Amino acid sequence: MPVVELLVCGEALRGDDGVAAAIVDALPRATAAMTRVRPVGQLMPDDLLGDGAPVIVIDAVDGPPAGEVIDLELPAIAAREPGDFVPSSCHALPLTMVVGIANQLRASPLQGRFVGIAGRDWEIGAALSPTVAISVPEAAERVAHWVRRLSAQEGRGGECA
Amino acid sequence: MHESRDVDFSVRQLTRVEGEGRLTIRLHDGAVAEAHLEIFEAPRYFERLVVGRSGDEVIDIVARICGICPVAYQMSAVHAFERLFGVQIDPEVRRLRRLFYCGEWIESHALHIYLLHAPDFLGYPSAVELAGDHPAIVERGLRLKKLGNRLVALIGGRAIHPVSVRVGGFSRAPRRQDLTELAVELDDAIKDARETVRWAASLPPPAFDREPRLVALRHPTEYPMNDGRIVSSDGLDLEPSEWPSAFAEQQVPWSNALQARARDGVPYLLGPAARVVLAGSTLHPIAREALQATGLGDELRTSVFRSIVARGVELVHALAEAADIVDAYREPDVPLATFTPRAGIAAWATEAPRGLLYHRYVVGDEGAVQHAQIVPPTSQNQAAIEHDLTEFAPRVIDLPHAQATRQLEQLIRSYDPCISCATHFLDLRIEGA
Repeated sequence: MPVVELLVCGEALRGDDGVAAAIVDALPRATAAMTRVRPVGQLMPDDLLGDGAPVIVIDAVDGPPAGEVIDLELPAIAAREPGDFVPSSCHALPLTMVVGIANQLRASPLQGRFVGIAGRDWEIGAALSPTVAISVPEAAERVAHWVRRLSAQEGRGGECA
Repeated sequence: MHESRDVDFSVRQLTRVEGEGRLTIRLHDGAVAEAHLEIFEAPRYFERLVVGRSGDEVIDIVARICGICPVAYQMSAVHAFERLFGVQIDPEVRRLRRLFYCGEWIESHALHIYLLHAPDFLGYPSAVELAGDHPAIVERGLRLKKLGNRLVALIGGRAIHPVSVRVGGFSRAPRRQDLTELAVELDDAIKDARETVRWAASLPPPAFDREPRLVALRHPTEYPMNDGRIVSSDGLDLEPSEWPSAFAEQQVPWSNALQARARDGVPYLLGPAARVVLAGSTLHPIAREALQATGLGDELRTSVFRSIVARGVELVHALAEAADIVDAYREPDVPLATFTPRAGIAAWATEAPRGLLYHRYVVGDEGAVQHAQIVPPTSQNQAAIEHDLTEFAPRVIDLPHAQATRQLEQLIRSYDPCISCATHFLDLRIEGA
């Protein structure tokens, strides 16, 4: 079965920054079986140079109202214009640059999604904020949707939305 | 009749730096009347967060200050507490800590050289465009950074915000087999790093010389990381715990970060160039040879734009020393020494990738922190950055807007400020020109 790689960003011990792990934990078992989970902490371009499998980057997002689920096409993040919303978190490099560099270095076009939840509280040792925690099932459903779709595309060249 | 001319440079958002800041330069008749690096990121109150905590808890908390150099925060804290508590660590633990620090220097220096600073010299707006034209260069940087992250993860349990450091040693030490698996990669990486130095030295810097006061740790037999004395280019020689006798922090109205200056008010420069100049005799022979081959010598001291070369030399050093430590490693007999906390002042400084990082804790009878002071290198370099901007800005005032922007950004990035995700997205506004 084609596998989708889930890149889990963030720091589980810093409040809402740990939301990516919570989203992965909330995935249905059947979906989880179609994935390969890789915790990456800070996303770097070489994390996106893998073996050609489609990827879903899962992370907390800073900026939009807390609890908002963000779902973006990953390769397009590098091409966003000034003023467009770009997911940001405490990475060594901004996501636009990470994706942009990976796009340049990959032998084949980058294929995948970014799914995240906007956070509010990044304090050390804090639990997920209630407004963030309540959005975890919705974000997990988005991830599950894209896992099924990306996996199907890999297997037979595409699936209807 | 003379007509006065005012020019304002306002960089409203420094991005791709760790933190949030802006640059404001005001020139009057060609002279800088004001040059401010404004750090407006909200205060993070870490010094308050550690109050009431034990030494081990402090070590875990301060690691969260920075995702690029958490090891430095852990090392300054752990040495401070061990000195106060009179802890004697196993010699192999001491070497393991140097290896840990080498890992951080490797990942931090590789990130800055290849992905943040190099595009300036080659005329690219960012590493994205650099990767398009020169993929092998960017891939080399990513390879080096990854190896540094792996070293940190192997020793610290995780690459970001490691968790294994404890007062007295480590909660667990890596197995010899885990480290020896890295030996071949380290040897290959040394070749990459030597090429990094040669390549960095070939990058033409903007013309700008000055005579900075340099400050770094210096140790008689080893390149400064965890140990040594604080020395300066004008004769300072102190125990790391004596930092407050020569330097002081001050609040400036334009920044949420405290600025540190020498007690005589003069700015000073920390970081790779200061270390290479003040402690170059203790560089690993492979790194010393790489430096000598550049023929740059004094230029590393006088040109801030040559810091990329000094950083490359330290990359070679960190990899070569890491290879030596891995080669000789044996698992420590006692990875974690026992100790009894006591009241007093716990203070120490170590060398973060960006320079001297000073910690001071007032510890109560039960071993809990009552007061903390943490002085990161960027807050110490801030005044030197502003001083250099004051000197450099008049030279770019008549350049086209984009070129002036690029050169001011390049100067700021030369310090690798831990406002570090930044500076290719500066928005420079020139008013009154």
